[in-house]
Amino acid sequence: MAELSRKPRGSLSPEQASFLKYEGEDRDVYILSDCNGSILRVPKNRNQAAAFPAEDIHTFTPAYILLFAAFLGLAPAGLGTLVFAPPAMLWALGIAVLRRPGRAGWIRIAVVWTAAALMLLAALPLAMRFLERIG
Amino acid sequence: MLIRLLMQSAFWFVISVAATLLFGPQLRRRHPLLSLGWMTVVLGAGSVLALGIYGRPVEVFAFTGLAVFLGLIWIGRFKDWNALGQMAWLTTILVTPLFLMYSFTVAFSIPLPPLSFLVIMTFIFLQFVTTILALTHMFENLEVTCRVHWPRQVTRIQPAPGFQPMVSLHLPIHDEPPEIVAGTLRALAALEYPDFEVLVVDNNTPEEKTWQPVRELCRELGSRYKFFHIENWPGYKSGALNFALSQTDPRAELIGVVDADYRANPDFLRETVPAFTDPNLAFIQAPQDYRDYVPGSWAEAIYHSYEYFFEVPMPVRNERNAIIFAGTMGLIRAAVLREIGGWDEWCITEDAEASLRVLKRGYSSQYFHRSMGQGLMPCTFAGLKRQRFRWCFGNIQILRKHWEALMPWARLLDPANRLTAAQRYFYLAGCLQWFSDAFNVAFLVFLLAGAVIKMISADFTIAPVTVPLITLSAVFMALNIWRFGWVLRNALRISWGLAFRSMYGMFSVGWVIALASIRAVLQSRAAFLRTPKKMGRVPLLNALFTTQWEAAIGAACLAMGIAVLILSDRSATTYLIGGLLLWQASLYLAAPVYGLFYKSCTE
Repeated sequence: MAELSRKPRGSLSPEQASFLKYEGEDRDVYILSDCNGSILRVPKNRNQAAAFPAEDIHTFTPAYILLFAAFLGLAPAGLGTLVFAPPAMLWALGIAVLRRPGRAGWIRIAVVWTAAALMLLAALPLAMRFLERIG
Repeated sequence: MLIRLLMQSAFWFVISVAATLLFGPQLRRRHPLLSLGWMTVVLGAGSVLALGIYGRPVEVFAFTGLAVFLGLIWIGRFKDWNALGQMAWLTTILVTPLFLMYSFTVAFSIPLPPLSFLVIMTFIFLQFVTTILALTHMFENLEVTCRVHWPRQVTRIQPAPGFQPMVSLHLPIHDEPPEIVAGTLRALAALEYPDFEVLVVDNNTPEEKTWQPVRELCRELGSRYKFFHIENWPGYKSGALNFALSQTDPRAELIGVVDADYRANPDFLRETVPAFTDPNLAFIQAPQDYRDYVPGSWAEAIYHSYEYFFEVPMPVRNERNAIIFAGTMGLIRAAVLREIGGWDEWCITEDAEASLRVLKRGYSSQYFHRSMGQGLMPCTFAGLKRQRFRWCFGNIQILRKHWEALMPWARLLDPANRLTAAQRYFYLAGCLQWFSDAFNVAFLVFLLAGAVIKMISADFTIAPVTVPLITLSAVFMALNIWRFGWVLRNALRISWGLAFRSMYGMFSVGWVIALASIRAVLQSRAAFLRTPKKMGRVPLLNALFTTQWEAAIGAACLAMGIAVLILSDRSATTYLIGGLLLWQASLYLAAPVYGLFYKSCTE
């Protein structure tokens, strides 16, 4: 087993620095091996940024995707909006009922509902006109 | 009534935009009286014309009154613009919604078969979205040419005696030709600044013979140069930069990023570091500039197409503290970079992404409007396409990651988000503008379908067709093309011929940008496509192979355009469709032309 050493920042010797291999990392350090096979733990020396894309899907992601589809669905005479906006609203409603959204959650619910409702409002006359032409 | 209002505003628009295109950049004075006078002339002339054609004085005067009211607001709000720019923007924002409304009303009210109605509505939707994007471009173009006063513009910073914080310069390299890196390192050795270190991080270069000479040179250049060869390293360039951050001297207050091919001017640090006497300044960015083109060559046209971003959107964004950090030739405060968690290894335009996170925390940025170093452009058109793909994909990644932070309700979601409305607008517009080429492809599909329908004389409509719409579409398009060439000519101070070639240089990468934007919507990750600095095997076949899709689409447009003009009836619609197809053909065929003739890497 290679020797495990804890090196402070900036203390890699020129010889070590000239050949390093990535072995892994965690929140705070890089784990590297040098040319002798020694394992080095090099502090990252920075804050941890929020990972993106997040490991778990954001609760609202499906609602947003549906909302985006509803927006594009305005193009074919609003028919796509009629298909996608209601599930987006339902998803947001589901979050409101089944989870306990915080302040940000309620704002997102309001955004999804408002955007979906506005799009439906725009889509309905278009879709009606389309149906008239079919009928 | 809608058509009359549309025509009245179109008269105003044509008068004011034509005058702006002719004299806008030359008028270097601003005064409220001048603005009021010009507003009177434009609105008066357009209204007299409308009165003469349509009569209806009450309607004309009421609409003119509304325009005057909006004009007064506009003149007050954009005091730093000259009168021509103010009126051009006012009339643009008046005519645009009327045009869209009229177009929609025509489509909605004319009797159409159901399928035709669906298609026409899709066309209107596309028209709506692209018009919004065109407005964002128009705003930048007018501002850069008609703004007279630039309070945040900086080309020289007052020296701050005694203020010489340590700078750590990070040079990430991957499989770069050692002779090019050597030039970069020697240029850094000549920097006229007392306290700096250079960290060269060579990540994943497979051949030892490629990186060993760089290591040797670092040794030669002295102890302020540190060389790291890291293998199996994740995160591409950002991963290497994050590693460099971990190895940065703790005394370093500023971090500079220098690309492998950039020759920094000796005064780079001396000129830019004093800006950091402002404790709230987080980063400063100088333009990316290039050294490897021969005047008169195709590469010169591409050079100016690069220059566009640093001469048009960047100065405009700088006035609102909304610039991006473009990586090379920029300095960022080390503490701020650590505070935001370093470079994002998921995003392939990590520099622009980091700047958004910095601004979100309320820090300020500064664009230093003077070249501080010159790099190499991609050697071939294939390299150029790879680079544009990466830029487009990366910017849409930024949108995917940060779109909520750019929305009007962003601060309700995250009270720590300190982006101003202008910053949110410019980041949002900057990312969305990358979709313009994808929408252009969608329009092309409509055009081709329209041409086929026209030729077979089918009873099917794919776009609302009335005389005013055809006329206005043609006028708007002609003004738009003129405006694009005009802004290149005036902002970059180049000849009309070169502006025209630069414009086509930008169009030539439209297809790859369209593909990148669609892929970025569908997939979240992409490999960092490094821009090659070595001349590969270019000529003929390779160039044609690289641009086969553009060539095929361009040829199809050309054939269809000619066919529709020859085979269809002699109507305005035929000429519009034929003309637009020939125009589209020229955009796509620009790619194989540039593929054949563009060649950089003169060194």
